[in-house]
Amino acid sequence: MDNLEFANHFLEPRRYGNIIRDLNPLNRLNIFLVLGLSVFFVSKYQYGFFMVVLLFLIAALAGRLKNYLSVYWKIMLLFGLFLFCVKAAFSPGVHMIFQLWGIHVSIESIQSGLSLISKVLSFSGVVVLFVQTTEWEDFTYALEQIGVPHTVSFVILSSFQTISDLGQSANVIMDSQKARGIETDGNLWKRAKAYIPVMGPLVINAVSGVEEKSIAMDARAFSAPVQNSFLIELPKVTVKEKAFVILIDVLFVALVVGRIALWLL
Amino acid sequence: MAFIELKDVTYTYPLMKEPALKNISYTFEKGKFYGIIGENAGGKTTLCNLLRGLIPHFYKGKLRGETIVNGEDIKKVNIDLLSTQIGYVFQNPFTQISGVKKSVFEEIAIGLENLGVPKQEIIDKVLNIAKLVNIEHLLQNDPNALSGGQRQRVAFASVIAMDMDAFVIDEPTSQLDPEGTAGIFEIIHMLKEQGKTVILVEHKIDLLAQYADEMLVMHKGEIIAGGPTKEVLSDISLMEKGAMLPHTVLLNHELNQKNIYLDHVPVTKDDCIRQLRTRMSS
Amino acid sequence: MKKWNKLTIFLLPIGIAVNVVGGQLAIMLKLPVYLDSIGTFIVGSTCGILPGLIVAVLTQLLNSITLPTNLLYIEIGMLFAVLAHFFAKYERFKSIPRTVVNGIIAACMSTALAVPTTAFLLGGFVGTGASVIVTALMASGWSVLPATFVSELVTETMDKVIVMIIVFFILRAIPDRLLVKLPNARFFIKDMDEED
Repeated sequence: MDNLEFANHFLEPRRYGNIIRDLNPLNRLNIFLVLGLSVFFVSKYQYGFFMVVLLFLIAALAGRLKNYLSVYWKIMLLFGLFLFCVKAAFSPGVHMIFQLWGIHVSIESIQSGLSLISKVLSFSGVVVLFVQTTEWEDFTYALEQIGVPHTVSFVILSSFQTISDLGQSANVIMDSQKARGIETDGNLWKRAKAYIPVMGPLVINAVSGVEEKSIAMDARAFSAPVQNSFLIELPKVTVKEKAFVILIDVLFVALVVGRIALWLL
Repeated sequence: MAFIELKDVTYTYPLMKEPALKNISYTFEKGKFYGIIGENAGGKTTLCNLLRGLIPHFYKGKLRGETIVNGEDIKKVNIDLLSTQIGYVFQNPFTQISGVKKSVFEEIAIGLENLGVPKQEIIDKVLNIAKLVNIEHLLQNDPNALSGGQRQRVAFASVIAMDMDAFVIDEPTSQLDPEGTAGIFEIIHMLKEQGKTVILVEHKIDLLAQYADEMLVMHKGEIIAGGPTKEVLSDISLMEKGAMLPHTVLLNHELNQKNIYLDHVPVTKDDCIRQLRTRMSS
Repeated sequence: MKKWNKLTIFLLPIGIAVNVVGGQLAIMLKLPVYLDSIGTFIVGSTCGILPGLIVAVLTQLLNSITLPTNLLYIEIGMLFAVLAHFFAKYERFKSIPRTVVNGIIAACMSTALAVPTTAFLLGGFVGTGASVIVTALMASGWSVLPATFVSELVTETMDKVIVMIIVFFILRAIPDRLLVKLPNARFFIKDMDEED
């Protein structure tokens, strides 16, 4: 792509050509949160597992199934399998199925396990899916559109870059430590001793650079008392999208109200 | 017309006993190109911080005397507004990259976005400045993966693109090769031609001698010499105070000791060659 | 809203990154402690409660990207932000012994906050090293509440004492000329003259 072509693509609002990823990030967050929170208001654990399946479908629809799975499998293992086992083994119950030392599996404990992991899995899925379908700069753009100051965008986006910068420096320092004969594996004490020479300089360097960073961003009119413009924009939200989000929200409120009414009556 | 006037300014950083600037008086006119030279830790960067309003607004500390920017006392100036009037580029290229943009194009655009420049205009300006600073080939690259020299040019371009009336530039070529340095000087010269005020701290004295209208020499927090470039740089005694002088001035000094005298002290290469030619042919 | 200290804004991403990278490094070196709150304590002590809270909350949100159950413990990071400010205010970062006591205080309070969540919401399971202790205790007949409490208190105390000692050294290494420009400078530098 030549520079002119590259420059001109900024003129058009950014589109991904995908029904899920082209939703406004805040609307997507809204829809996903409703899906994730709804499991806490439906008592049947089958609904939670239905949600887990639904999230897989949405991930596939967004063309993000692979990325979604690459994060989600750990959660399935940790909270799907292990958490279920712990719950099933130790929760109290009357109808015993299996008992050994402190472990006592019962129908009730299995049910409470299923109920818990269905909720944890679906809510976790929503969080992972949102992250996997959203570019952070689009998210901060959407925030600025509803009046969040652009310092917030800076803090969010800068955090990611700083994490990657510090992570890289940490690796560089670790390698040089190894080269100087400081062990980074071996027994616990040796590994613990390696931590401080890596973290110390890393933090001090990062903190010391903050003064110049502030001056540099100031030179870019970071706190200029004017309304800033945007080089990259997202498409305007369509009426259809707006209507859909409102519908989802209304359904959710109805669910919550219904649930509370059931408790009270 | 006076742009910045310093009247007997003394400044001490917080927690420090010794002042970093001592009894400084100088008037910076609009549309001129000023070069600042002097030994390290002589107060050059502190002076830049003052001219840019970072002293006293950001650095606090004790500021005595008067500093008048555009007719207003610097203590009362809104520093956020000042940041839209005076551009500032400094030495360290690593802290000057924002770290929040994915391409050099977007990086250069930040300042323009913050000034509220319309999109089409941003695009035109970025393309222009990239050509000027010779970083067109980097526009689509990740700004966080550039070399020191590349970052320095991107940082320079990012501030110059904002098209302000005045620029304070503190050693913008520390990471550049001679070719890159010459390019930066040409751009700074062009800014001056456009009527902008430029205040530049540099070690590359030969280039300063060629372009600067006036020179200031700093030593231990004081301005020990200031005025038209030729006059200031002709003073060989500045060497003793740690100032670098153009090679041609040193050559002239050597010649003088052998009782060879030129018409006047040559501060640029061209002038020196011309004078030597005339002399040899006579 | 009061105008933000400019340096504080740029310290926030650093605080968040220090939390995350510090935690990652502890995992990489297979240490039995988390060490993922160093940034919160540094920003909280030098910049105040609100910046500390922002660092704590954003860190926890970032951590929840890969482990969403972290969201359940968001209030604990917030507790550290508040503690950091008051530790600085009452000069509790001035010596190693005080620093160690800080760690114990922080650990006790955070355990008190974390145990109900872990024990009742997650049945003792947090998906970290502490879970191993809990599971072992429960298998040998302990009930979920004391098992969670003991395991959390042990890991938290180790973690927070080490974190505090690291924070102590980092705070001492931050140059005064930088510290003096931060909101909590008065807690660290005594002979500040306030003129101009």
